[in-house]
Amino acid sequence: MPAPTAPPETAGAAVPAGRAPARPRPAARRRAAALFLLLPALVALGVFFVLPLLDIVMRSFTDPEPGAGNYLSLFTDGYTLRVLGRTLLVALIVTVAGVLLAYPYAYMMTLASPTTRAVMVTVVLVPFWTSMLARNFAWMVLMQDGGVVQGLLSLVGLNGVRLLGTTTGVAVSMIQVLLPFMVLPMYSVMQQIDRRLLLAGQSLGASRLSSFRKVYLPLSLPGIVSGASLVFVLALGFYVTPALLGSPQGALIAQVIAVRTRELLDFGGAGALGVFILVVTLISLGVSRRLAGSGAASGAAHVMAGGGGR
Amino acid sequence: MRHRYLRPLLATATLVAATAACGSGADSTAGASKSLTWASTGGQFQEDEKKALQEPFTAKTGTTFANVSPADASQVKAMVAAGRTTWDLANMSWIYAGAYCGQQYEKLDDPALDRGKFPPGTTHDCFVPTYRYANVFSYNADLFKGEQPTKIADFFDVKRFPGKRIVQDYPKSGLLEAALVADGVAPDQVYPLDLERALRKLDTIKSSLVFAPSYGAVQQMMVDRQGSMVLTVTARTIVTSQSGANLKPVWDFTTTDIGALVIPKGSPNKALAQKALAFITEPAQAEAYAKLTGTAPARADVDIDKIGYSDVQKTFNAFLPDRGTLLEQDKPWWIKNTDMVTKRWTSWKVS
Repeated sequence: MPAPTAPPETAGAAVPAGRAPARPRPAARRRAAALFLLLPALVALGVFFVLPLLDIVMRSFTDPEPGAGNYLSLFTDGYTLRVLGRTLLVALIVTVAGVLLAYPYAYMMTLASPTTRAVMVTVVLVPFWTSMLARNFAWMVLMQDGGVVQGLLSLVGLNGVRLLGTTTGVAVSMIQVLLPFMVLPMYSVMQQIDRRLLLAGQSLGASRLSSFRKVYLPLSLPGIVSGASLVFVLALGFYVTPALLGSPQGALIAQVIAVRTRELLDFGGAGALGVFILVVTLISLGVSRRLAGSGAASGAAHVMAGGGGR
Repeated sequence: MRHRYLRPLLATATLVAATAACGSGADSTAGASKSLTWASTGGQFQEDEKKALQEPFTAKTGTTFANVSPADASQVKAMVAAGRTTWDLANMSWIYAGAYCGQQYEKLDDPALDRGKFPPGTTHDCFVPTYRYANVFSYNADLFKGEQPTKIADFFDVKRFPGKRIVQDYPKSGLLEAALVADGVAPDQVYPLDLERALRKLDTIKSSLVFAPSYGAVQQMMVDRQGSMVLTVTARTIVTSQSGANLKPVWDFTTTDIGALVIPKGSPNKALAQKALAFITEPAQAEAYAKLTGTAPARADVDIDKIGYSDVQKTFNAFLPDRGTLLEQDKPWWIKNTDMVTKRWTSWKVS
């Protein structure tokens, strides 16, 4: 089958810049080379992302009948907005808790010896290397009534704390899975901070705390923002974790989309809901970018690609 | 400058898309004449189907089977809309075949599928049953040492019988019918189903209901004694009991239903698929399948007493004598109202 070799062959034909002018200017040639390198990714994005997305948007306005009916129903069916609000709240809690956990962790990574650092990275990445279902069922067994977590909590006098089937339980598991997305961008920004700046601050009379607050914290802010926006966006789309560890009464938006697609076969309505979430996501990304100044989101590029363990 | 690259780019995209389409097309049509694509649940149940239903048909006709899973109605809709149906038989809820009969599912017109052979109320233009099962109410006997549940109303009595009720996370699980009967509706008056009354009754035990997201979760929760009662399908009740939960059934009021293999619209081998369908409802295959899964045969002419059920399969089989009141879930009502029920159910559940 010619399919696997097709992109390189045709990509070769797509570089007319080489034969256009007799002596191509360096800038033009560089741009051609850049396009050549980008081409496979652009084609893949176009065919597998942009076209399907356009299809979803079209359907959301045309299926079952033309108009904005699918969008209006999101606001009138009585539960979508409530579930969306809950999803945003959970994503926010996961993000804030994640920052509080990840910041000291990433900070310690910059101070640790290379060996210790390797161990720390491994520990934070372990959830990635476990099957998503195995991990969620493990949480289920840990958090169930009479399980390990309840046992530990009752040792310190907290009896009958229910986690399985609650939004708290879902959030705890989400924080664990999403921690690498928080730690790694923070670490990559923090390791570039020149620690002598802290000493300089202290030599000018600042206390350790205020030199941290006025020098280190602002310099590490891009890492916080890129980690936080990544985690927030990923948390909005969680499906398996709330389905297994939560309860329908605490359903998140992905479960409502699943009902519309798989049970109601309402592709248009599900598409409208998806587009709505996409808009909300873009808005929150825009806000975070503005908060941190441009370029902050580039820290996110240091994180491995792919949505890991949703 | 930019437009110079646009055309090759578009050409490349078109070419890639075209070759991809050619590739998959060639694969799916190769040797289509004597092969059927069978979509089902995956796991043990599809293994049972292979053994009891597919292998005898292969032995008789030489037809081979390509097994895929899961069988999702949304995938059928997408395949039919794209005009590229690849499945010939799909084990999935008959609701979709009923609701989209002729549009997304083929009508069954092979004379061998004589509807008169099946129990009344179990057939449709687009489906015939391949087996029968029940939504079985059972309880964890380890948790009720004293008084034990004996009636469907006890499922809704969390004062006398405390503990979590594990139910399936879809409306046609028998829960709504059970709620109405527990609320005083006579079993033969359950349909047309008064959804609001059923949900009001369910509201009284809502905080004790646990909606299991999967069959595996039902099993895990019952074995780990997270739930005191469970309402789930026959085969899953048996598996859960075999994996260590001390389950006892309550035969007071039980809804029964059918499993069906349906043919997605535009199936490449519709005629052969219908032949296979007729073959697997015949007594020999039906008996072998019933014995493997603990479900009951679909056709009325199969003698259920001749099936060598194991003891645990007999314990949870609703079609044996002395099983209280049985009610076959009303096919036309569910087909007509499924969208309305699913919407209302989702809205009730998530709030």
